[in-house]
Amino acid sequence: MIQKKICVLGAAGVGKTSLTAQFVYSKFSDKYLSSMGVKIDKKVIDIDNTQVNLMIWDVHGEEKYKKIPTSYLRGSSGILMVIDGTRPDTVTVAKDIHQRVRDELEEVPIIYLLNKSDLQDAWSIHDGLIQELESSNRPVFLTSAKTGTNVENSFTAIAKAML
Amino acid sequence: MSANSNPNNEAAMQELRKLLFEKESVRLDELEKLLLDQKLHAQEVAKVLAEAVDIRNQQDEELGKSLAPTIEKSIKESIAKDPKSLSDALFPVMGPAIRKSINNSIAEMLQSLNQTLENSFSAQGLKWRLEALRTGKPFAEVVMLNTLVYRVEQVFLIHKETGLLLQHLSFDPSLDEDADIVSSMLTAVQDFIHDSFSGSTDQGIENLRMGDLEVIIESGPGSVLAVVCRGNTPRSFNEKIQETIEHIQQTFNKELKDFNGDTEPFLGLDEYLQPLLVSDFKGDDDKKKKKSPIKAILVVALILIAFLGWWGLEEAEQQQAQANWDKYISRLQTEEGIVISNIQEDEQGYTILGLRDPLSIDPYSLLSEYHIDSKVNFLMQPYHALQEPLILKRVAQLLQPPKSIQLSMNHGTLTISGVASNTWLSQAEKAALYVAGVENVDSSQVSVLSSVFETPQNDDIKLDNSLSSQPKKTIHRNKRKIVKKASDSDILKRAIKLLNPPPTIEMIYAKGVLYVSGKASKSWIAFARENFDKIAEVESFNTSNFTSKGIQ
Ligand SMILES: Nc1nc2c(ncn2[C@@H]2O[C@H](COP(=O)(O)OP(=O)(O)OP(=O)(O)O)[C@@H](O)[C@H]2O)c(=O)[nH]1
Ligand SMILES: [Mg+2]
Repeated sequence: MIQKKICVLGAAGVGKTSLTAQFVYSKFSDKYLSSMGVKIDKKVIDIDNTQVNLMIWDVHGEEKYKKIPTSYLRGSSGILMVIDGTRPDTVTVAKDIHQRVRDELEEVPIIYLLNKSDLQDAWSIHDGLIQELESSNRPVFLTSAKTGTNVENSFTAIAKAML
Repeated sequence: MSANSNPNNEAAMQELRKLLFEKESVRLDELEKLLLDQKLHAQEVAKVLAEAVDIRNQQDEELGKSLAPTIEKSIKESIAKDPKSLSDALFPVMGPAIRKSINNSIAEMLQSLNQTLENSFSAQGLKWRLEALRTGKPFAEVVMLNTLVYRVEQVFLIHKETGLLLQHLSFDPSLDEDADIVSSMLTAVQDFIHDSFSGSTDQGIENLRMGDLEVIIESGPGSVLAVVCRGNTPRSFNEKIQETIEHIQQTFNKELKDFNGDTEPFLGLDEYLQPLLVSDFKGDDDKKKKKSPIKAILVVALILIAFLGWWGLEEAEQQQAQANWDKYISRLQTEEGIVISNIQEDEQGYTILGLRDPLSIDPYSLLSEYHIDSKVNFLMQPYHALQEPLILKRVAQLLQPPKSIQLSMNHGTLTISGVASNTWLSQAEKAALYVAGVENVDSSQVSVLSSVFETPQNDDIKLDNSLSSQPKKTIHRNKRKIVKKASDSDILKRAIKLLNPPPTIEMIYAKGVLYVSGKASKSWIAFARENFDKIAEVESFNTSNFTSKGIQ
């Protein structure tokens, strides 16, 4: 079995913990409990007949005075960068973190997740952003931790990109 | 003729020089070349440099002094450029060196600890005994606490950069499941501590303590060894961990660097980690053995004696207490109206759960009888027990029989015997059937005192409506006997004595009937009505010639 560390990053409240919980335990809760530090979960998935033990680091949200410590990033084989589709400001935060990841880690695959896709009414990300991200060769998934849409796909995609 | 002026001479000289100094001339040329050519020069110096340095160093320390600034500067530059490569390179050398230097101070500590251990079985032993007495802790526990027992529960070898688990060994295999998460968490915690205390990059011992569990964390450049221990590990154990990680680091240097998540190459690590899974008594220290084997044996013997002594005493006491408790419980279990469903025991004492008939014996009152001084808590639901002694109690409570009456229960039949008035009896016969568990009432043994105040009744009582729904229940009074032993005059005497009639009253007794005539006060009439039936054998009370004074 192969073990891989991945980090789930993004601004506070974008749904990192929810996405992880949906992926690992198939559970979702409307309650918001802001994460402290890092919580680690694992799930074994099968990629082309290889068992991969994903160690998922669900890191606390990046905030102005509570930046993500670079020590958490060390040794990651992949990054899931989460944006809240109802809050455009979380895009800027994601790009910020992206830059720091680039500085800290060498070539490591990063996948963007535009989360809360079930909240169509409050959706406020214009298609231009998706095109922009995709044109810079960054895979983008429209996810919902609530309904489970694309959650499994995103984790599988990052695992594939790492192997 | 002059030789100088002769050109032939000059040529001849040249010829001669050539003949004589041919070799020297070549060598001179070579030397000249050597002096002028830097490269060849360096090559020559290189040949003798080591020896030269050696010679110079033997003479004085000038060479070191003059080289020092240059070396310092270059090391600084090297560290600035890539600190990790240097520390990687230095690690195998530094590790043992640092250990050696700490060793001395640890050795001193160990020494003094050993001494306390040795003395402890003279004066200290007594002290521990006192401590045991004072704190109420078992002596063995005090000895154990003081002799630093420990056990290694788990060993994690963690890949430093990724926090991924390379190998895991544990005392209890059921703990294997989440070892990989623990491994990552440990790394995260370490990172966190490191960041929060804006860490020095030194790779020293870091310990975490959780209750009586201690996690000793020892890191090398590429891997981290985390050892979870219960109790107190000796200093020497830390060294063992350090040695292990150094060893692993050296042997698996390349694999650690190239680690891509595949733990296959690390399967061979077992043999390095297995020796860490130990448990030990501090008392087995080498030094002690060397010093005096007799003393060691004595110590062990003393521990054993002390332990057995304590154990024996404690055990005997415990056994006695346990026996008392068992007796108490089996007594409760035989007691009617008490049902024990569960007994819980904790440090506080016992909790007994179950059912209790309020008429049953009070379980608290029995505690002292069985010499039980633990705290006992009863959580009993009230209920009506159907054991006959309790049914009987309930019947008695309800019927309030006069002293002349005996009640007994047998297979659902309530037997009433003795002497009673008709009033009481007929009420009792009905009421008794309301008590759960009473199926039949047998009152054939009762001698009834009849009263003129009562309506005459058939021998077989028809159950009233409320009872007729319980057809099974019957009352046997057909065989009721009327006892007539005393003579009529005796009975009359007894009646006069009991009722103490006023002179205006005349009483006659004949064949079970007490005839009363004349006038009397209201209160006496009431009194007489109340009490005539207490005179045995008086079956009825004839008042046909009777008038109440009060009414008239
Ligand atoms: N409708 C909807 N709500 C979501 C979704 N994902 C997360 N949420 C909600 O958003 C809130 C924040 O979710 P979390 O998963 O705790 O967010 P987080 O990124 O872990 O937050 P921090 O740990 O504070 O950084 C919670 O109330 C979630 O229920 C989603 O896909 N759809
Ligand atoms: Mg969270």
